[in-house]
Amino acid sequence: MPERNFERWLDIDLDSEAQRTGNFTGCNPNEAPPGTFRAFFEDKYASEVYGRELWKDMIEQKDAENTWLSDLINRVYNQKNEGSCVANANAGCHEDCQALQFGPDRVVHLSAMSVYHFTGSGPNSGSNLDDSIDQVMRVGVLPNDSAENKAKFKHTHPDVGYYTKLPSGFEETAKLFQGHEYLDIRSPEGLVSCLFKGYSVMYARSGHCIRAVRLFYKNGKFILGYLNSWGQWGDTLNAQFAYGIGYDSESTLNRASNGAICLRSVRGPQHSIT
Amino acid sequence: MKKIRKWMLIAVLLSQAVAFGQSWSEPTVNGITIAAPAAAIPAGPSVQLSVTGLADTELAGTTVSVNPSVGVSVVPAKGWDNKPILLFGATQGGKYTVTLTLHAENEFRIGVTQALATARDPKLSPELLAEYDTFAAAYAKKLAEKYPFKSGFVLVEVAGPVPNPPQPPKPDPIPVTAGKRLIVIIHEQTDDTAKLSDLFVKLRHPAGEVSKYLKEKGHLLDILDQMNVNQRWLAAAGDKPLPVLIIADAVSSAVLSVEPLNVSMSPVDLITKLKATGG
Repeated sequence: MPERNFERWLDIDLDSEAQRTGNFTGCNPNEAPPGTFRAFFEDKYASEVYGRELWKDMIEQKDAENTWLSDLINRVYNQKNEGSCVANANAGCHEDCQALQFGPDRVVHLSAMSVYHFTGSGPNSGSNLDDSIDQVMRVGVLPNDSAENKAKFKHTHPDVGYYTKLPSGFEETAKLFQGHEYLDIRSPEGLVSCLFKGYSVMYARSGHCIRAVRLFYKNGKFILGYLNSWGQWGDTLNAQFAYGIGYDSESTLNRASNGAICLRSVRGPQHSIT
Repeated sequence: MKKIRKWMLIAVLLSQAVAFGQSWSEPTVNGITIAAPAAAIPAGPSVQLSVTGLADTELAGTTVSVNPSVGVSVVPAKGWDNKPILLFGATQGGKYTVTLTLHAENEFRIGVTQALATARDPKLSPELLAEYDTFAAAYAKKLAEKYPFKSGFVLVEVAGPVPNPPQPPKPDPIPVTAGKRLIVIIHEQTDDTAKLSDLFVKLRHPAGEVSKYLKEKGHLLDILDQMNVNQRWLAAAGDKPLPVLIIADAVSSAVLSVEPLNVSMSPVDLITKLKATGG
């Protein structure tokens, strides 16, 4: 288990931190309350919501066996100087699901900008979760323009650059990467249970959207680890990345969990096999 | 009188539309009687079934069918008295339905007759009803003369051993040859416990034995929700309870192994199962 600097990265005011570091946020409030467009995780999986009395032992087991979904993450997003945090989190969640469904080696890295281009009105307007989810469900996401992706896919798109035009006919490739099932979350028990069940979770606070990746237990308190989209920022994510995550205390978790979203299942080009 | 004739004409046209629009699949006993022996006849040599209600001149316009039809022959013919008969022979025991039809293409006439009866409105006065009945009878007679149709059927029992139904061929066992494998784990939302998630992450972990083995051998592992998987894999799972583990040949997609997934299994167990299928 790597050394972690909880004190340094705990309960960061992400809006101030963005200004301090030259990074950007970009999460706007949804227009409709949670539960309007998607079922609640707590309702659909009522028998699988784990109470706090179980968390400590479950954390210990997952730590001992290295079975957090975050152990499979092989990319830290960087939204740079655009307000595309929601799209970055959403595309990141899609990759998390790919890692579980098809394996980390077969994950196709995605272009958050191919989503934000349709959900933001400008490079720094920001966007909301509902619009981003709708875009990924209906249209999908394009692979980013890495050399590997360009060799494999007809259409790709860069990670950043709001004004970069999308390639003609991009929908054909984007639909290979649609979201399959999203669920709303309304409680900290729901959010944490999603993590225990291996679901990818994103949530918002301080005008910024981030991905919940795992839970810690330290000094009698629970701490939520979240993955940011600010590149080489933060504390150790996993064995592969010595940066990427920040920490939210239990009280922050309690406040931020209502309105979180989990992504349970995705479509991928690997489906041509299965 | 003019009024009722117009009304009758409409009824006739409607009844014809109904009759032409329908298909009459049930055999109708109409005018032909076929007599078969009461006792079961022996399998082998042909026997004569007598036919009444059919003139010998009408024989050429008949069609005959029998069900079941395997190992049986039925031939319309004329007897020594020039009256129509059916020569029936079966090589196997069983019960056979023999149907003889004259001018099968005119079967619609039955429908017209029945439709005329359906169109008869009992609320009409007795005088109008009497006129309608006279008209309908005359019309039906005219149809019968213009579009002759008759039919009859009989059940014939043949003594003898009833053959066993043909057995489907047994597929050759799939030879176990070494090669790349496609492993599909199908689960459903009610399976998604923390324990199952632990197993999945162990199978996927880059530093884990399974991940390394799969990469080394070129095997692919897909873990999919039942609502997000190709139907052919659900079909392969059959009636096995979810979660299920399917191992298939990666080239031919031939299914080599299907079993319920043991949530408590160790990741190394998957390697053992793969090796057993030549993976």
